[in-house]
Amino acid sequence: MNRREALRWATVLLGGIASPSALRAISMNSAPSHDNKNYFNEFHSRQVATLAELIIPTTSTPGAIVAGVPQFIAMMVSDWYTEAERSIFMAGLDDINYYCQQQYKNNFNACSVEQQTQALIHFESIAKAYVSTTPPSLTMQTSDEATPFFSKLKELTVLGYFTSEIGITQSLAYNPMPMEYKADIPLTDKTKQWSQY
Amino acid sequence: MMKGSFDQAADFDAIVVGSGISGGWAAKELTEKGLKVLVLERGKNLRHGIDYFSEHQPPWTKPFGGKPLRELYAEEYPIQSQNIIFDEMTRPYFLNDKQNPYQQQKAFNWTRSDIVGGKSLLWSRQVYRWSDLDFEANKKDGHGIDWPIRYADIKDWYSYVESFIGVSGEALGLDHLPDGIFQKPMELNAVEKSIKANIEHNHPDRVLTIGRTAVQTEPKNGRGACHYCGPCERGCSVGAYFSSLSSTLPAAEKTGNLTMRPESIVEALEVDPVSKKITAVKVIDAATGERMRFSGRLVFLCASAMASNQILLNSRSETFPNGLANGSGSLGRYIMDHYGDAIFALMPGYDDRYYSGNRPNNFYIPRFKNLSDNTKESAFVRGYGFQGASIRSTWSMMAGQVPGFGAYLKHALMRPGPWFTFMAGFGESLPRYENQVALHTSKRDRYGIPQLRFNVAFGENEARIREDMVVTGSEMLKQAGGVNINSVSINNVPGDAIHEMGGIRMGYDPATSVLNAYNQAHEVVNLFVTDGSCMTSASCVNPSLTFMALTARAADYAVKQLAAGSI
Repeated sequence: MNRREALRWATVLLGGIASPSALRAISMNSAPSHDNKNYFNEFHSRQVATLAELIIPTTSTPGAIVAGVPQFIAMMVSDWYTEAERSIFMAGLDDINYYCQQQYKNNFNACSVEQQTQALIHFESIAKAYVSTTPPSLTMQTSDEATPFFSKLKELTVLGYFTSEIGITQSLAYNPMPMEYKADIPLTDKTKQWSQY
Repeated sequence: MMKGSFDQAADFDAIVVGSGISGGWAAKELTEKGLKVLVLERGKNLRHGIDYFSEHQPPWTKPFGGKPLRELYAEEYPIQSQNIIFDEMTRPYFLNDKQNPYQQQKAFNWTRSDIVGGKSLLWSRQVYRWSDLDFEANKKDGHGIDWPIRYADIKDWYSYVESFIGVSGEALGLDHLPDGIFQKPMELNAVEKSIKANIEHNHPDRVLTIGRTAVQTEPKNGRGACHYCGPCERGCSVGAYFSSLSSTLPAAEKTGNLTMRPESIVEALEVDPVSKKITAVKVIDAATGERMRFSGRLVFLCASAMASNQILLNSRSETFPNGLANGSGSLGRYIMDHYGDAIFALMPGYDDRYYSGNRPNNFYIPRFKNLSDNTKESAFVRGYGFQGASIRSTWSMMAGQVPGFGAYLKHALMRPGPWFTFMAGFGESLPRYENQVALHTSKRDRYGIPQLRFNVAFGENEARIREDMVVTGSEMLKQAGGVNINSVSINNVPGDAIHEMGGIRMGYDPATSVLNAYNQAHEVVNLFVTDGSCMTSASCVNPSLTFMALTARAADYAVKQLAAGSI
């Protein structure tokens, strides 16, 4: 078992679930539809960019928009998601927009940042109530296609950001040729996490 | 390329089937001793350095953020994609399951490569010597037949192999895990050092050491030292890690005696009924489907443990109706693999410690049970070891655990996460008659070769060892300060550990074994089998170094026999 294998197991274990039979399950039976169609219209695209930046904002390092996360999400929703996953994601975009209309009498894109944040908090609370019945997967994918909108949005944003060139080179420590393994170095306030390869 | 035929003199002095860890060594040794050698490899050609398409590719070039191509993997790579190193950076190195089916009477996860160099490009590189604890095990407890060799027979060959491949590790002076020729060991990190101290304090008969790995820490053998980039399996142009491509095959090529033929699927070996020698190797060209045969005075079968079984089983004749060299009836039986559970624990208390670089190595806890009267277990025979590491969790592990969104989330994911330690047990399985591979009676692959059918399962002794490794491993991590301790079954299905062995075992007695003490078939003097299929027991110790040492030793013997006119 190499380091990367351990990482994947730990991903599952830190979630607190450790059913041996479940861990073997690799859910990849669903077929994505590769029609190279962009499912996002102009409104969706602005909505997704705003949401991604709310999740990974610009701080001392660039945020989701600069890192190209909105384009990553559009690609994943179009080319990697299954039909079931895509329909939950697209419905979620409509739902959060509808929520804003009801609460703030404005569409999501026209709301203030404070209102958009409150709307996202609301959708996170819905996601928290969700209990998955699908076993976790060994591979770095969500094996449960039915996870709620917020979970999908957060997962794609985090994945897109920390696998982007900007995210990796500016928010993580990246060195493709370290030349040595330093086994024990002190951690300071500035230490960034070593990037995955 | 000359085609072989019965009527002319042999095309080659020797034919080596397979170019992986064993085949590469056979090619090197035989060519260096002056033999003209043909290497037949079923996989695609792969040029060292030039063809490592994904080496040092930055992580942002992975398609879909590294997510699996679900539809493709499920359809065409359902077995291979279970390998943790299988992704878009390595996929071309694996065999396509859909195009190359096999039959699982009982589940068997058969990892297969599709490249020159074989699994030597994809292995985890852990290399340990076996000891007389292993070579005497069958004789002492009566499971399986006695090994026809002892540590003294192979000791110098281990040194010979280690010097050439480059092994980094720490000398310990243990009888049951003999020291080798080591380069400077890699280092344990802060948490691992603490666990080591704790285990060795609480259990004076147990040891934790850095893994002995075929990754150079010093530039040697015309190859570079490790630069700690991480994903060895993508290929290593500087040859810091040992593979056939980086070391044995170039050495063979340098002699001018090597002919390499990729995309060559060996269907069967043909034997002369009178001399009982192999007269031809029947080959199917994977690209054209053309059937051809090559002849050699010697044949080294190193096709991989299970594939070598398949080839001998499929080499049936009037002389050998049950498979070549199978007068004993033991061919295809006594299949073994390692297995085990892994234990995970969070390790609080080291928040101010970190590391940098990607160490392509783990720690190792050598076997500590059933070594002596003091460590004797009543519940099981044989034993197990642990491989593990301590690391800080990463963004991908924490994303689902850190609630909310915004600057807090971002900064939490940018920082090194909580330390955790994992240890994977590797248990010894017993050689059992009923654990068998055979040819399917009707199902054939796309080349018309009967498919291999697996009927292999772990038994009672293995189950008890697994229980013990969980209890004992969890206890050690708890004593070392671990919390939230969990265990998971990682290598449950035979094949999972990719240490499959047996089926063409060595032994003294032609009535119960296929090979003699020099990996030579009892009944076919010009046939040598030196991959994992030759193993008479499984040990709990990683076997690849032993395959290499046995191969070099067999090549030495074969060439002497050839010169003496005995073959």
